[in-house]
Amino acid sequence: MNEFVEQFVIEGRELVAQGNDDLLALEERPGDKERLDGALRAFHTLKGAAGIVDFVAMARALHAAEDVLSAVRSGATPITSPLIDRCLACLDQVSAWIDQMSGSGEVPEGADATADALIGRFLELAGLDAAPLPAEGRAAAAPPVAAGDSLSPIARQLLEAQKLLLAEPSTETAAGRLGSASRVAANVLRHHGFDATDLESLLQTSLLAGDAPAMIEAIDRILGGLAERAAEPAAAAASAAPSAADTTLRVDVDRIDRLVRLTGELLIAKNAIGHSVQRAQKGEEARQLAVGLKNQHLLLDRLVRELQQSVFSLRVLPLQHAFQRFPRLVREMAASAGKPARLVIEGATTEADKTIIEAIAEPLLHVLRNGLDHGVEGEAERAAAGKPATATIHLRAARVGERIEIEVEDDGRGIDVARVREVALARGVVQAAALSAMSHEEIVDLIFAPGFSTASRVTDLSGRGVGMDVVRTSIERLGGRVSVSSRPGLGTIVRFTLPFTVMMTQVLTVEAGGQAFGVPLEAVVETLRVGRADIMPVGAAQALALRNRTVPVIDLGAALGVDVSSRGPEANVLIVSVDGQLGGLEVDRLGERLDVMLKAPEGLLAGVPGIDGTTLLGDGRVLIVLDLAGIFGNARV
Amino acid sequence: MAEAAGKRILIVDDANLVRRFYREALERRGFEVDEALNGVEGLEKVLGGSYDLAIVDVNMPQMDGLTFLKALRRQAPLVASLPCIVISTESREHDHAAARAAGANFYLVKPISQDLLVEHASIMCGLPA
Repeated sequence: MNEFVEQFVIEGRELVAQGNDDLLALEERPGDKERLDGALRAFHTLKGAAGIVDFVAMARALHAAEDVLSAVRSGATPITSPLIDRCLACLDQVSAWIDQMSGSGEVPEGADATADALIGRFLELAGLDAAPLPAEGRAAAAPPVAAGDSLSPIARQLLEAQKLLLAEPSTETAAGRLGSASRVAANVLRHHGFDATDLESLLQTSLLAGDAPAMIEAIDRILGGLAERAAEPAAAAASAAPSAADTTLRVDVDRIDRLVRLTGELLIAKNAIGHSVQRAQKGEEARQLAVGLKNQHLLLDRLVRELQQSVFSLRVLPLQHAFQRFPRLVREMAASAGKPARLVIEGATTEADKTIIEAIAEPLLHVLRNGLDHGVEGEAERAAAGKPATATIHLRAARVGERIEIEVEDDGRGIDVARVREVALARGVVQAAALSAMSHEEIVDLIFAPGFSTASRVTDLSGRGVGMDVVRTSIERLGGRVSVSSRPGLGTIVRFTLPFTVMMTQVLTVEAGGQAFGVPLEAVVETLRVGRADIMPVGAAQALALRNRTVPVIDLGAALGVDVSSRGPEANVLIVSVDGQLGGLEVDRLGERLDVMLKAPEGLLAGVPGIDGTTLLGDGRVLIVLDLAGIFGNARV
Repeated sequence: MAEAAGKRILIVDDANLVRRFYREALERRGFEVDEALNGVEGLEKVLGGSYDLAIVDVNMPQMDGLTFLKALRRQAPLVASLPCIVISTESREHDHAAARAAGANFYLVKPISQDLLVEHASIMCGLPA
């Protein structure tokens, strides 16, 4: 993909998010000038970006939205729900287009008709029908005028020539060319008795942005090229290319600088070691060499650790990235449920690891849906309870020590414990005997149990088949926890507790006694296949002669108490380095390398020597990662 | 006629006859007219004064019209954005394209009538019809 398109995809997504955000805020507080300016800026900048990648259709659609918002700013048009709807729809389409471009790198086909349909909706909305302006008097939302038929042939030729001039490839003369073309275009309008002030200021803005396509489009509109076209929304939007995952990360410059500095220091450390190598080759005495090497090792150690931290910090983003879609989605869900609701977000600037940010959006959305679907009451019920008609859902995030807490609180009816008990029994989630021994909290917690769902009818909000159990599983896979608390009649709080940093550990999976284990990859020195006869008993343990060294060998299967008598004549031995000493680990099979998120062992596993932690595999199995120091602690020969 | 007063046009052409032909037509319409004999003189003029339009020949000694245009478009914005018509005897498409690439706003082929010239100049300067 060319770099402009790449940049366009990144910035485009950010701008769409910003635009969405501003529009929603604007709908709530129509007088908020800052938000209006923000939205306008987002549309305008998006339009400029579309121009740079030659996406003329997108630029046109955005331009129409910009016109409408400009009319709002000049006071000619009030902010209404249909207006916001259209602007949001425009951003939706833009977002779909961006996804398509990020997949294919190309401007999507059929975008013209889609853009025309969007423009048509804007025109019908604000009455911006493209009638020529009267000679005297300015229209409120004028730029640009569609002068159409009233232009003389020479005027039309001149305008066409300016379009061609604008479309010339950009060189160092571009500013002059664009500037002169806009002067000519404005003068053509003046010559025909139109007020060219708006066009001029529009062209001036585009000029400053170097936005030639926007200027071409403005001239096109004067030529009346757009007014006639109006099409039904094309199916193009629906056949969107599979949206590519967000694989790009925007990073603070300071963090990059830190990496650059570290890289420089690493280079110096590397050179110092090279120098030591030379001294060693010249036969310098080992003791003297060791002094230098030790210092260099210390330096490298510090640098590598700093580097690791820096790289982790690169992956840290504000939660806003996950939250930004929610106001919009809640608005839509509320509308489709017929329950007015607003989302209040707090702590969106709280930072978290990118892995977490990417993974929590879905579970959070599910919780929001659930709250709206099951928690928030219908209008009559709210009125009877003396609650405001519009429900409020709070989404809060905060950093607490090394953890991040995110909670979703609604002001609905709370969780009906009696109903949970009933359903849990009816669905066989829990036995009657066990249920009677459960506390109030434990019963509420059953909503996370697999197979539980209190939805008495299928709604298009929560859907069916995916329950809160999936939410819990996803959060636990991240090394987090989910809890719920509910106050009858007052509301429900669902709380996620997540780790701040996600330590990815590389492990090599091995199999022994039918169970999969992980061995930290950094400890693995080599893998061997040796004859069983080469493994000799040494006292109560076993050992292997490896290049004139005796290495203790632990048979993992035997250690687990599995019958190992029927083994073949050869053994798979993993040579590992533990605190500077070598050790051998006999396993049945070697597996693959994996990046896993390590969780400290909990419950019964906690405190068991030889276990470093556990991790959930993609298929839901638990992988036990071995603590080699613990295992070999008793086996030193 | 009075409307064109205050609109200044620079003619950049090495041919005396052509300059006189343009000047007469433009002044009759009320434009103020200035002249330059080649691209170098043209650049001196535009840098030293303010114009609404330049009418530029292509083939000229010292500095041809297209070089003049490219140099002009690289100046500070107020100067660089001067609208320019190129009037040339060449009529092939690639001549048009070359003028456009140099930054010409419009291209007319000689011979051109005085009326046509005035009409283009009036529109490009934004005079009322």
